[in-house]
Amino acid sequence: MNDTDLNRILKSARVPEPPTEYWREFPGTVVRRLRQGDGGGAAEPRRRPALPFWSLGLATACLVIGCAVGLWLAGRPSAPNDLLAQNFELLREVTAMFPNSVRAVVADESGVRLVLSDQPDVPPSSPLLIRVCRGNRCQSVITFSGQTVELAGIPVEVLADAEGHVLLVGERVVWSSAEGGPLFADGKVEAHVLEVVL
Amino acid sequence: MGFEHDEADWIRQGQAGDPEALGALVERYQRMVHALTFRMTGSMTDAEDLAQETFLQAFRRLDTFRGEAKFSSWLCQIAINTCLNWSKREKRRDEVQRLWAENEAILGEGRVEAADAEAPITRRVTAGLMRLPTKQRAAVVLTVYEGLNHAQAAQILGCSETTVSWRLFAARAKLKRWLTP
Repeated sequence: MNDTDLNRILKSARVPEPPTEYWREFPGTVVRRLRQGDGGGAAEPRRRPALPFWSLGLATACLVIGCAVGLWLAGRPSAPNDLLAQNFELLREVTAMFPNSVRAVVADESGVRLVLSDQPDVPPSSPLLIRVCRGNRCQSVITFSGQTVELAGIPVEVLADAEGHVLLVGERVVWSSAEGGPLFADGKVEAHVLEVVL
Repeated sequence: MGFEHDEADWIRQGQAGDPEALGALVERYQRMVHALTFRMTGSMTDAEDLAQETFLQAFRRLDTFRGEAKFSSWLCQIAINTCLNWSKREKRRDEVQRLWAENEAILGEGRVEAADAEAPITRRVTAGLMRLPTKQRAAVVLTVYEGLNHAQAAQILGCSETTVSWRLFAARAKLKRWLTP
């Protein structure tokens, strides 16, 4: 067999043809995932690895604490976003319960939720408060330097510099509390270090 | 409007985040990308996931596309790298696939023809490609199926032209042996 024969055989192998509907829907699927800000490290929606047993416990704990925090905040007179900034006690309790595992506490219109790390690998540091408003939707996040959080659906790495300024670094955006300005075209951002001891 | 003109417009509009333009680019290249990812993985399920991943990665860095290469070559480069990264991640699965391909080849044509009378060649070629080391497979996919020359393939694979030539030489020798009736 020469190279030409081999090429002919290789090219005669057909690629399986998905149904017409698949081709029609595929562009929409890609664009939808893109707009959702899909991280897309490994696109494997059909093969999720089985969750380890402990993660179910962790998820349950998060749910319970999230509900408790939500109910507690709901009983307070002011808006949750502002309360989150003021309630250092809440943060202390949560970080004491999950030492070095709290990546963020997020408050938005859907309530308050905790974002925990799989491992206790969050180094102790001063918490940072970020408040983002886009249109009439606001979100407050308490997190720590070096953590990646989603702000208005956009993943950004949060960093604090030695002078106490907060930097937000995304794939296409960089924002610094030292300079201010908009992070998004139609949004406002504030961020500062919370001077509390946890 | 011509093909190139449309495409340049879609890219420019896509860089500004226009979803319709992005959708049009996917529609134009979805079959090319699916064929490439299928030939690299031998699995339609993986090919579909990797095709999605390719477009997502391409669009996330669409602003880096300067038009120095053809858009199809640029996309091809992202697709092949996505497949090579996938292969690294799926090393164990890759090994299982390679063994499957070897068994398929060892068990012989009779069984294949009986099981899949409509496309024995397709099946044997896919098995042969999957039996190749990933980088040799990539060289075959780029040159034989995508029609690139060795220099273009070398640029995409990030290696020298000589390396591509050697990989092709080795791959061809094996494929000839496995696919000779």
